[in-house]
Amino acid sequence: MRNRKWLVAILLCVVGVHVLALCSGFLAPYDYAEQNRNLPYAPPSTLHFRDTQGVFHWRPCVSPLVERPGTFGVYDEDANNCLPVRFFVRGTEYTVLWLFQSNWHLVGVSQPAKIFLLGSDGYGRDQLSRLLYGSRLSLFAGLLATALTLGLGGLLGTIAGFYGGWIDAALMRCVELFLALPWLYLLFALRAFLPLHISATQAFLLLITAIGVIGWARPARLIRGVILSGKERSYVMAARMFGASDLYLMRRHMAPYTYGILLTQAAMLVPQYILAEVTLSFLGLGVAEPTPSWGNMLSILQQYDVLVSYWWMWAPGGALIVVCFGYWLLAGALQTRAESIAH
Amino acid sequence: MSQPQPPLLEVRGLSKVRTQGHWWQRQFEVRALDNVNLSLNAGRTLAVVGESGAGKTTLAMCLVGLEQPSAGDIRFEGKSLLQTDTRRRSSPARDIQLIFQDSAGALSPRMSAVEVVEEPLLIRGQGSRAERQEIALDAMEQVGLPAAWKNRNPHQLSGGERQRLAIARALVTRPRLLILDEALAGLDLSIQGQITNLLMDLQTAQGLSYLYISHNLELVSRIADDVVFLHEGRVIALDPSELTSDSRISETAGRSATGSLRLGARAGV
Amino acid sequence: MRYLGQRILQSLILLVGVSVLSFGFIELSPGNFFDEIRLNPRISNETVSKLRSQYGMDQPLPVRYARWLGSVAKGEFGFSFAYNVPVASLLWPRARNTLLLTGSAMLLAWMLALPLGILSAGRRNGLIDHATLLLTAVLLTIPDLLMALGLLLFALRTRLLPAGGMMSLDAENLSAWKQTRSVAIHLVGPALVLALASLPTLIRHTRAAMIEALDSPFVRAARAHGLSPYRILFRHAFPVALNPLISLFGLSLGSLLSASLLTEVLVNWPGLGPLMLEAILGRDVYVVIGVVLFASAFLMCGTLLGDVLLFAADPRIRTEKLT
Repeated sequence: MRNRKWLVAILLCVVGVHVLALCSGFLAPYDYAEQNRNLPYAPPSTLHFRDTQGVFHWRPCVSPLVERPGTFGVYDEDANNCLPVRFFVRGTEYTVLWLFQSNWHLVGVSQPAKIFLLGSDGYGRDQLSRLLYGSRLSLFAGLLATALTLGLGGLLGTIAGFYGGWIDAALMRCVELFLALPWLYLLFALRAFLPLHISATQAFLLLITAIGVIGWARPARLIRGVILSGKERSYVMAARMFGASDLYLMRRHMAPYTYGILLTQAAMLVPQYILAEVTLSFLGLGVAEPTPSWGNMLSILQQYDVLVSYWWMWAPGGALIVVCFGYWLLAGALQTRAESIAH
Repeated sequence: MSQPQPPLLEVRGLSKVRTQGHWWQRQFEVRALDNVNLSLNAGRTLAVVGESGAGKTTLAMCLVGLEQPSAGDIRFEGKSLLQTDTRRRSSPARDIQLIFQDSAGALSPRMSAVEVVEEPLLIRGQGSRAERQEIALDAMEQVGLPAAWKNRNPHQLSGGERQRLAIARALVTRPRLLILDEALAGLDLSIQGQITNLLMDLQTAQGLSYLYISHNLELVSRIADDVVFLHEGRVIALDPSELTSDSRISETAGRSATGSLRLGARAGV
Repeated sequence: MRYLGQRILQSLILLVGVSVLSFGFIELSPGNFFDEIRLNPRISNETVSKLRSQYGMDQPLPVRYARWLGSVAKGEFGFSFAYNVPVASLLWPRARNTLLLTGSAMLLAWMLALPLGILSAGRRNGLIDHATLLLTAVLLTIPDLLMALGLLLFALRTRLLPAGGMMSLDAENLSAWKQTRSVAIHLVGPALVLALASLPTLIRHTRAAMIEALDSPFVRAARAHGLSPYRILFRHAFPVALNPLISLFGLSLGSLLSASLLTEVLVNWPGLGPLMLEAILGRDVYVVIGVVLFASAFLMCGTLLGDVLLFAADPRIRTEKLT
C-alpha cells in the first residue's frame, strides 16, 4: 500500500465520520426524544419504488404501519397508502454546533407514514436519529478524553524526562502505581465517587475527565523516554550554551520527536475510550436517558426478548464496529509510516 | 612578549566532584577535575592535552556554563563567570563558544544549514528575520561555505563541512574565545589541515583566542602556543619535557616519527 | 529468593498506594450511602445521624483510613452498608469466581494464541499466517461488549450454551460431579468471549517473538544442520521466544481483568464485576474500595507470577541478579 496516499485516505474517512456526527441534526429525520407510542419496536421501513398502482418511480415511498391487533410489535403495512420520501424537508428544530438554530432535515416523509430507516425502539423513537445524535456524544467523548490523556501524559512525561532527578523518580513511581491497576476497575471506582444523577452535559464532561485522567501513565512513560534520549544530544547542549530557555529547548528540539508517538497513541486510545464511554453508559453509569449515547442505546439488549427479536436494535453495535475498524486501519497506517520514517 | 593586560581567561583551583550511586546506597566520589589552574592570553591558542577521561570535556563544559564546578573560579577578562545569574545569559556566555567533537550530533537534523547558523541569534532575539539571515550567510561565507548551501540539511554535508558550519554558528555571536573539543578528530588529514588554516585565518582576522582540547599532541603542536597536560583531572605538566616520566601521556600524545615535539612552530611565533 | 522478596515488598507498597488513592477519592464524593436513606421520609434525621456515627462516617478522613486499616488487619476490609456484613466475606467467594473465569480464559487464550502465533511465524505470508491475521483483525474490531451480547444471543437461540449465571438453578441439590459439570458448561461461553478478546494481542506478540527467535544465528545453524522445520519451530525457536512472552503474561492479565468486569455483568457470572457495579449504584463505599484492592492485588499477583516464571525460565536473569 502506498503509504502516504493510504494514510490520507483513511484519515479522511475517519474525519468524515466525525463530520457526519456533527451534522446529525441535519441528517436525522427526527428528534432523538420524539416518541411514537403507537409504534414500539417498528422494523426498518421498507422503501417501495413502485407506488400503490404498481408504477415505478425513482423516488421511493413509504407506507404507514399499523399494529396488528392483539399483538405487540408486529406490524402490517397499509397497502393503500404510500407516501413519497422527500428531501430537504422542514422538521423539528435543532441547534447547529451550538451556534444557530435550523430545521432543515435531509429526508422526511409526510404523516402518517414514518421513515424509520433503522427501526424504532420501545418508545417508538427513530433509531437512526438516535444513532446519529448518540454518535456526537460517543465519538467526541473518545476524542476529547484522548486529547486529555495525551496532553496530561505528555506534559508530565516531558517534565519528568527534562528535569530528571527526584521529579522523574517520583513520577515514575506514580506511573508504576497507575499501570499496576486494572484500568476499567479504576475508572469505575472513580465514577463511583462522583455524583450518580447528573445532567447529560455534566455526564459528558465528567466521563471525559475521568476516562482521560486514568490513562495518563503509559503515554507519560513513552514521552519521557523520547525526551530523555533527546536531552543528551549535542545540539541541545549547544542551544543551551547559546542561552536557550528550557521552554525553547522543549518546544524546538524535543517536541517534534514526540509527535509520531502521540499520533500512534491517539489512534490506539480513541477507540478504547469510545468503548469506555459506551461501557459506562451501557451499565447506567454514564449518560442517562433520554439523551442517546451508543452505550445506553445498546443497554436495552440486556433484555432477552429485545436481544433475540429486534435485530435493528444492534445498530449502534454495527456503528461501533465500523468506527473501531476505521481507527484500527488508521493506527496501522500511522505505524507503517513511522517505521518507514525511521529507516 | 609581556602582557600588560590581565589574561583573557584565568582558571584557578577549578574542581568538579561527581558522586555515583543512589541516595540510599554507599556513594563514591569521582574527581573529574582537581584543582586545575590555567591561563590564556588574548589572541593565543592554548592546548589542553590528556587521555580519555582526563577531564578535558568537563573543563570545557564548566567554561561554557553547561556544568557548574564544585570549587574554584573562572575569570574572563578579569570578571568571574561564576558570580553571574544562574542562567548565564549575560555577555560572558556569549563571548565563549564551544565546538563539539561530534559534528553530526551538534547540528539538529531538522534544521537547514542557515537555520542552524542563525539559531543563537534567534534564541537571543537579536535582529529581524532578514538581519539574522544576512549575518548567518555572512558567517557561512567566512568559513568557506557557499551561500547557495543555505537550505541544505547538515547531514548532507561531509564531516569537514559540518565542522565549518558549527564554527560559523559559533562566530555569529562574535565570541572572544572559542573552545574546540577534539573538533578535528575523525576528519581526514587534508581536511584537518584545511580547517586548521581556517581557524588560523580567523584568529588573525578577528583576534580570536582558542582553547584546543585534544589527546593528540602531534596535532596540537601545529597550532598551539602553550599547552597544559591533564591526567585524571589534575594538571601534571605545562611543558612536554616534563612528560618523560609518565608513559601514558607520551603514548597518547602521538609522538611524531622524529621523536621530538616542537611547540610554537606556527609561523610568526 | 531475595528478588522475590523485593518484588513482594514493592507490590505491597503499591497496594497501600492504591488504598490511599481510593480513600482520597472518597473526599471528592459529594453523595454517600446515607443520602439515599435520608430521602425516605419515614426515617428521621436523627436515625440517619446515628447510623452515620455508628459506621464512623462522621469522622475525618485520616481517622476513617486508620480504622479501615485496622479492619484490614483483622481480615474484614471494612463493612458493607448494603449487606451489613464485613466486606471480605462478600469478596472472597466473588474473587474465587473471577479467578476461575479469568484463569480459564487465560488458559484458553494462550492455548489458542501459541500455536497460531508459532505457525504464522514459521511460514510467514503462508495460508495460516494470512488466516490468523484476518482473525486478529476481526477480533480487534469487534468490541468485547458486542462479543458478550453475541454470546447471549447465540445461547438463547441455539440453547447449546446456558445464557448466563454460574450454575443451573437447581444445582445445589445435585451431586458434586454434576455441580462441577454445570459450572464448567456455564464457564465455556464467558471464558471463550474473554479469550477471544485477548487473542489479537497475544497472537501478535507471539508471532513477533517467534520471528525474532527464528532470525537468531543458532536457529539458522539448526536449519543448516537439516533439522525438520517443526522441530526447529517448537524445540529451538520457541524456548527463545518464551522470554518476552512470559513478560506478556503479566501484562495481558490486566486487560483481561478489565474485560472480565463487563463480561461478568452481562452473563451474570457472580464475580467481582457485578459486585462492583452493585456497590457503585448503591454507594457502598467500602465494598468499592475492597473490590479495587482485590482486583489490583490479583493483577499484581499475576505480574509477580510472570516475573517468577521469567526468573526460573531464563538463566541469564538468575546470574544477573546474583552478581
